[in-house]
Amino acid sequence: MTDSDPQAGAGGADSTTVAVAKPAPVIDPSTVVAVHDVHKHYTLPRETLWRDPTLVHAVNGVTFTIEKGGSFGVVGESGCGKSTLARCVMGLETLTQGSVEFRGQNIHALPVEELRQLRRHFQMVFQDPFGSLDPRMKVARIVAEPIEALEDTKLDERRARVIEVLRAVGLKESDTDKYPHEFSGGQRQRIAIARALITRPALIVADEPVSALDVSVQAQVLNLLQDLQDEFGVTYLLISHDLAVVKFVCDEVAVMNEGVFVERGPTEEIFANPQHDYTKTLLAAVPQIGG
Amino acid sequence: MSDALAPNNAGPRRPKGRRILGMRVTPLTIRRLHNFRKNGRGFWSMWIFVTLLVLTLFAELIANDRPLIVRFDNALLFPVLTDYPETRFGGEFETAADYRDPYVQELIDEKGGWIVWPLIEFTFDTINYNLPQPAPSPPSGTNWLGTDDQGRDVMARLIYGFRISVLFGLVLTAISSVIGILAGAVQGYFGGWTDLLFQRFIEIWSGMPTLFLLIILASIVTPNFWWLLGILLLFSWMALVGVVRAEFLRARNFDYVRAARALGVRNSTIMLKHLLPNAMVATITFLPFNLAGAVTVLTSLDFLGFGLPPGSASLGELLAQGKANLQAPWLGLTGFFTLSIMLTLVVFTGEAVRDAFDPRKTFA
Repeated sequence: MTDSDPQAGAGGADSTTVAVAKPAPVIDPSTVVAVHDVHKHYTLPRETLWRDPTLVHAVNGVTFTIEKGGSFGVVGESGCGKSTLARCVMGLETLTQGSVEFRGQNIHALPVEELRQLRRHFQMVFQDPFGSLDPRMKVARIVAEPIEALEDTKLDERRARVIEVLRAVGLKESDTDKYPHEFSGGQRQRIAIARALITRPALIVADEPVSALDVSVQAQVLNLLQDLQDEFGVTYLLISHDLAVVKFVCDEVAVMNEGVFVERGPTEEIFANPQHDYTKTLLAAVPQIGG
Repeated sequence: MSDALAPNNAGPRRPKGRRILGMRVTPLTIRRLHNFRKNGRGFWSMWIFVTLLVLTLFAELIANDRPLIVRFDNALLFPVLTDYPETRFGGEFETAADYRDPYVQELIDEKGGWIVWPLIEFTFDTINYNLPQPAPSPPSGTNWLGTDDQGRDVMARLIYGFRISVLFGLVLTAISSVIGILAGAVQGYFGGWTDLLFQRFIEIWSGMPTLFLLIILASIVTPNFWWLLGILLLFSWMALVGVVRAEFLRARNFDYVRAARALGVRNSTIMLKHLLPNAMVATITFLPFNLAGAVTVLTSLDFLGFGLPPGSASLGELLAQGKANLQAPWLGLTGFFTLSIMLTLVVFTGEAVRDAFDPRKTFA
């Protein structure tokens, strides 16, 4: 039901020995994340006692890899399974089938505690900047939360890191003492990005990072994402329903429909010369001013 | 909490956020306190209750059969605090002096000493042997609320009974809240099978007839304060599970909780820092009512004779005596008024707390 299965904690005790015994990753070291044939099926509640419960195939066999410093975009209409895919990559869902390897480690096979420790290397930005920040906490605590949970840093160093990362996303030092409700949507998303950046992750999974924002603010946040990539060399997996967003940020795009990638390739190619019918429909559906 | 305060060490301090008793309080807390204060009935009920509780905490100084101070032979003695043998005053026995004994009083008088008595010259189990009428004797100058059927002062028993009832209620409420919050939190946060099995267990467990179990247990052990506490705890912890579980179930899917999980925050940390604050409002709202319930349970057990050991001061025992001695209405009436006033004060306080936490209610 949740990623936090209490039973799984029992296996965490001997986790260190398991990790040592693991063979060295055989894949190309420049590959940050390798998703192999991922399936995720949900069972709906039974409608009648006599019939088997309906299965929803949210993700139905998805394979891709992202190289270091790359940015991979997944587009699709709502309900096509792209957010589920993001959650699978983050290890927040158990997979029905397949594997997600982060730097050669199958994250779904890791014991709970080890996966938690590994999370400092792949962080997430959520869609709704109004919901994803705890309204009871000040910015300093929100942004420091990952290092507080994952690292053993001293208080003053923690604070220095918070200020550093807030500056990197264009916020001020004085903002640390404010509550989230004192910020606009764009600023809040910057806070969320700062929180994801603070552990200096290799991969950031951004699930619709700008869809809750005004169009004018969207460009700012997307520019910020690109600047941060140049500065920190972070890899992105960007989920969006908005073709323009993906076109702007990503160098590789996959079009998703009903749980599968219908088409995949470099951004310019896909947008210039779509092969699959669904991609063509999707591109045609973008409203054109004056068109 | 130190990390929460860390950002304040440097950088410009913002004027917002006052401190009460050294703790930082949010504007919301201030608003709640303000609302609570505005509710006159609840506010004063709380203060009366707290005053009564604090007074009865010093029951030994208010109602006692030992004097507060005895001046004897140019020495100041404090019998409330120390035992003095009768021989200390020139008596015959090595046993502790009985200051109500006219003989001992005479001994002190002879040496030109004096005695300062507490307000009420009886403790809860002092038997007044010079009653004008056979026990239960009616209210008089010595026994303000009369005596019970064993010649013990009702006022003194009331003070001690009030204290033990409230303390019992407070301890029971506190421990069962902690257990209830833990259980509810685990259920609500993990959900799924944990929740399902735990809920079924609670349903079965809450179906156990508490009273019969107590009666059976009372025949095996002699119940004292701690036994009763333990046995009642077995069942009272379930009171808060429902609300806390509901709050956690609701809040565990909040975006910031999912975010914290994705960012690698420990489950225990998430529960403590993100979810518990959500559940606190519901919990605190319930506490006064749970307290009232705990007091009632202890009283009813005492009334039935399965509560505190015989001889101890208790409101339930007073009620039972009132029922057995209808010709002595001061027993039943005292018990009734004490209980009803105490519970009313607690419930008024609880209502004020509940309203203060209600965001839809505003008080000018």
